Amino acid sequence: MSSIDEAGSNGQRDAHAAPDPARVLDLILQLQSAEEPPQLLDALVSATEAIGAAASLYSVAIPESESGPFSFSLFACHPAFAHRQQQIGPLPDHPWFRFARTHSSPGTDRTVEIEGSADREALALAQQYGFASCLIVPTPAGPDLQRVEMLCLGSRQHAAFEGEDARLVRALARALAAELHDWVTRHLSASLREVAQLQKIDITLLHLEWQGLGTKAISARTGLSPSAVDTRFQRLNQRLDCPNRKASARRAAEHGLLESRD
Amino acid sequence: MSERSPATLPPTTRPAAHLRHRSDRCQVRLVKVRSGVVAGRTTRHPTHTEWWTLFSSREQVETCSADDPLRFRDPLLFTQIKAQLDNVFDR
Repeated sequence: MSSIDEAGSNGQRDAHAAPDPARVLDLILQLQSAEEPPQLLDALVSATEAIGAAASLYSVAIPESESGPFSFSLFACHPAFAHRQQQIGPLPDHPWFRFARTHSSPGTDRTVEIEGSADREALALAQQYGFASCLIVPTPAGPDLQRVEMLCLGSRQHAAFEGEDARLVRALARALAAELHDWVTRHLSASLREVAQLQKIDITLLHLEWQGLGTKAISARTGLSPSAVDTRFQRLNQRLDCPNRKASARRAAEHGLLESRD
Repeated sequence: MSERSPATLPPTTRPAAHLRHRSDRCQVRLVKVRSGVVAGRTTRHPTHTEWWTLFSSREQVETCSADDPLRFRDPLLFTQIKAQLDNVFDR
């Protein structure tokens, strides 16, 4: 069974364990073989332990115009943290997310700005579940995208990720975050493709729309008539639950669907 | 936790349970993995969230159950999830 940190664990993991780089890299390489989120979380738990952290969280937030942000999160920590965090507010409002939204390089809890009582409550809660100090690794989503993504590693020890001693952990964490990003992007794009029943031509249309082309240009590129392009987009908008083709293209791009055109 | 070589990890046990709230506002999926039982919860209102947590012991199940807002908001679903979690742990 996992030894990931738990609230009330009597401090058995008070010391920040030294990372095992070879094992971490092995586990990072194995991430891509995870079939679905449960297997990915299982692998993240192992990687978190091998890095020497007490807990971790990987989360993605995608702004969606109609329904507020969509978020996808893996909690490699005590499950009660996820439950209680949901009760105090949406994860995308967490100060860690605000840090990830405004930074491209990793930072620690000391660099997270606290803006009010809600922030203090969120950080106090995290502290109970293995995040007394933390390393936040933002993952760039790509140009023109509003998607925010981050890996947060936690330690029960204060200042565990500060200074030169933590350089190795920071490097491993960045590698882990990059692999998680790739996996989650594939997962989100496949899910959207399945839910909206998108075909190859649909993705081509969305890609061209995302490039800013109009009906005539798309018609010329695809060989479809202009009316067929418009009709196809109307159906696409319905299936993607978006008010117009621009929003559909954005939704597809935010979910990583336009990164590859296979 | 014992050392595990990635090359010799045992195969993952496949899906165990899917639960769906009658109004489709909440879906729960439970899957047994090497280090415990993973619970995935998808809610669509007020925001669309999908979150995955790992229960590595029955103690964690009890802790979360005591604190789960579903206990009062949707007792039937809560009871179903709890029963399925126990069931998956026993497999």
